[in-house]
Amino acid sequence: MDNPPNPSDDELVSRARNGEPSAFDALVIRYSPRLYGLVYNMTSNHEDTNDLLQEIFAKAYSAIQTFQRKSSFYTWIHSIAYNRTVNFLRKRGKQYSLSLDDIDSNIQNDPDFMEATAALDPRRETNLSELQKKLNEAMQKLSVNHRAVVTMFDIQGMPHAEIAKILGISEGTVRSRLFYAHRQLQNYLEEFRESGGKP
Amino acid sequence: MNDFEPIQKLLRLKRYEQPPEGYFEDFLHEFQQRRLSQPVRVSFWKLLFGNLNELLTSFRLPTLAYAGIMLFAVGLTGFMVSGIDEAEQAVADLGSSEAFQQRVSLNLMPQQRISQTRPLLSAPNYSVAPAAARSNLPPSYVLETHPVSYEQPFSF
Repeated sequence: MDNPPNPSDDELVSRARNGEPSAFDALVIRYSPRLYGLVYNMTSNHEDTNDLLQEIFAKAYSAIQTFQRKSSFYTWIHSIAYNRTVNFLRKRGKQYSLSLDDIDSNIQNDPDFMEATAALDPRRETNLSELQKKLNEAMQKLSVNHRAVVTMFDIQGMPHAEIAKILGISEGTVRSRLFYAHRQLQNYLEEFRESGGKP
Repeated sequence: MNDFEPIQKLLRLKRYEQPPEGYFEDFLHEFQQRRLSQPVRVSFWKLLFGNLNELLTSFRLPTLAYAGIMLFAVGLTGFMVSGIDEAEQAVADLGSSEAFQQRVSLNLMPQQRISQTRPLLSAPNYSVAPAAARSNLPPSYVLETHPVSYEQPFSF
């Protein structure tokens, strides 16, 4: 029987459980960019993100037989990613080094970026890397729990309900963590913002 | 516009941070290599549990089955309540009998039991000293083999 061109997660999970590794590969292709974003924005380190992502998919592959489908595969794999990353960050402690990804050149066309750097057109390139560094440093100053909700909500655009399911907390707690995280970030980035983008 | 809108705008810019081109293809290749070098070993019991759980999850009980379970639960509750009534009645009957009074007396507090003990004089065997001793000595009374008094019992 031919497989559908764009199978659902459930279909791919069933096929992977029946011993079809290519079905799991399809899930890896589907979810690796999203999970990369989650882990990278929590660690601010590309190499750590790569290692963690390998571990996350390996864990999911070994546990796919016991995946009970009480939640969607999306929620399940994000929960694994979150838990693995939190464990890693707790072991790493405060000793970390930034290893930042390149910035997509499309950022030049983003209205938010243009607004943030409007006063510094001649030095935009320099300002961009400084802005990136400052943002990542500010993120690393947040607690792991606060960083997770900011990553999922502000950077990845997930709804509160989905974040609540992944973290196993209430939507109210998600909103509360977001509020405190935003307030902290506002304090950390105040100096940067007041100087019009000059660090 | 909320107070944090500028911060949220800055955070949204982090979406443009991307791994090098071709990273995800390489990632998949690395993952496949890893899978080949470290084949997954799932224990029989884990596999059985996973499959059984999925089977039970996918199994939908008909509505009538739920009604039957509910009926059984109601019947069981009724049976238990009637059993409790009977037990209470039996206890009430027993409360008036002599045997119940005796049982209650055994359950009294120690101080109450002491006040209700019988006098030593009326104790049949151990309240009076042995016959050999009684021949030379005045009657004595013992409690648990310890002498209590060697005086005449009615010498007051």
